[in-house]
Amino acid sequence: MFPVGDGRYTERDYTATIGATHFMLEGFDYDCENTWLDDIVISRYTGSSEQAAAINAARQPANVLFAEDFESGSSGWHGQGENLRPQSAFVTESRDRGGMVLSFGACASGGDAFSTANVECTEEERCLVSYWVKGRAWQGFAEGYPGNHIWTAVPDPDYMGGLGVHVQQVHDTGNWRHIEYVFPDTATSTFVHGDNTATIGSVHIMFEGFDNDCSATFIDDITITRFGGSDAAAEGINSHANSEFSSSSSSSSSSSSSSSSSSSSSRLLSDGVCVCSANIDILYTANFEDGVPDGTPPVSAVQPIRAFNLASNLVCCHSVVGVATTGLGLHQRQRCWPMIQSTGACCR
Amino acid sequence: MMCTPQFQCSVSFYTKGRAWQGFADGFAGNHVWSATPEPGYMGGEGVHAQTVHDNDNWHLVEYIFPTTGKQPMQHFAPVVNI
Repeated sequence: MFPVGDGRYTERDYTATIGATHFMLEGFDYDCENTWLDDIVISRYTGSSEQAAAINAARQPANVLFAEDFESGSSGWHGQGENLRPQSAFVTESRDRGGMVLSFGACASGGDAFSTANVECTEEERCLVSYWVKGRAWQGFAEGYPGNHIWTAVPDPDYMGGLGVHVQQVHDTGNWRHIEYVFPDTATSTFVHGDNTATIGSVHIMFEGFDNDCSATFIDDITITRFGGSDAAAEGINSHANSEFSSSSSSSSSSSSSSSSSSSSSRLLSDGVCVCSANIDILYTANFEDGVPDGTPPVSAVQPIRAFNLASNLVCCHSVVGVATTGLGLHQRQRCWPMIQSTGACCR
Repeated sequence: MMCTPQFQCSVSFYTKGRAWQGFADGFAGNHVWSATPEPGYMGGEGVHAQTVHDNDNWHLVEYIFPTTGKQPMQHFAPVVNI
């Protein structure tokens, strides 16, 4: 399961309810100088609020090579050798995770649960590995079940003299922790076990409980995405991959904006002509085509021209000025202005 | 702009590199990082979307903000490169 939040800010006063907000951007940790943004559009979402989190979950993240949340059981997992199912690993419900997770009934070696799907992870096409873990998990990649393999995320950093170990798993049976690292790292191009000259390529992700607290070990929400960052970024990500949480540090570096915003809602106006249909409620857009004058402070990047008027919720919509594509489909983009309630005139 | 659990916003932008994006009631003041390259940032709390870390290709990020509760992550969208 994917924790989202409860409609409140998470930093500074985390009891403050989200309301009037500024859109903020930054490069934070790695590849900041290679980071770019364009064509920002914020529009009113008019669908079901109950479905919003599900829509987000369905969209995220992009460029996924492999994903598993165990909500559909263990059918995507193979056992060691000829075993069609893992010998000790099974899918069970986790109350503190709010859904189904992979659990280990006993310790194993040589790999217990292998993804039946393969992912291509090579020196040229690296992978960003992400999952949640509680307990004491051993995780690696294997060519078969296991065949040539490598243990990359283990609780013992000195395992095999550290050969192939990308990150250290935190041994913690009380808390869920997030693991994220880039595989293979710049020091790794071949498997470690089996034929250690065999080049890493198409692999199965594998898990096991190995030595201690095996039955108290759980895995959830695995995603493997294509990593397109720099070597320096990969090294940085791997160096903190086993930390509990990243610390927060805010220093906005967004530097330019060109915004045009208008407010609208799904209302039929009194003249019976102007109708703004759903999802064309453009609150803020920025395509950066006009740039900004020299010396414009970064804070201007988050200033909408006109705030959405929740009190009146009335607008005048005029000519269609374009067609917007969103995840919810194609929508006409109209130019809308708040309506002066007393006169019915547009306040443009 | 007004984005609340009752009046949610649909957010869309293109990004290349490793972008962090959020919302703040000031500059920054109270804030939340809602689209990050790390799904586990802050234990995943407040993270609505994962931005793709890719220095070479533009990726579309789309999500609804703010959402509440927990939902299964499955049925992933295809790669969107432009």
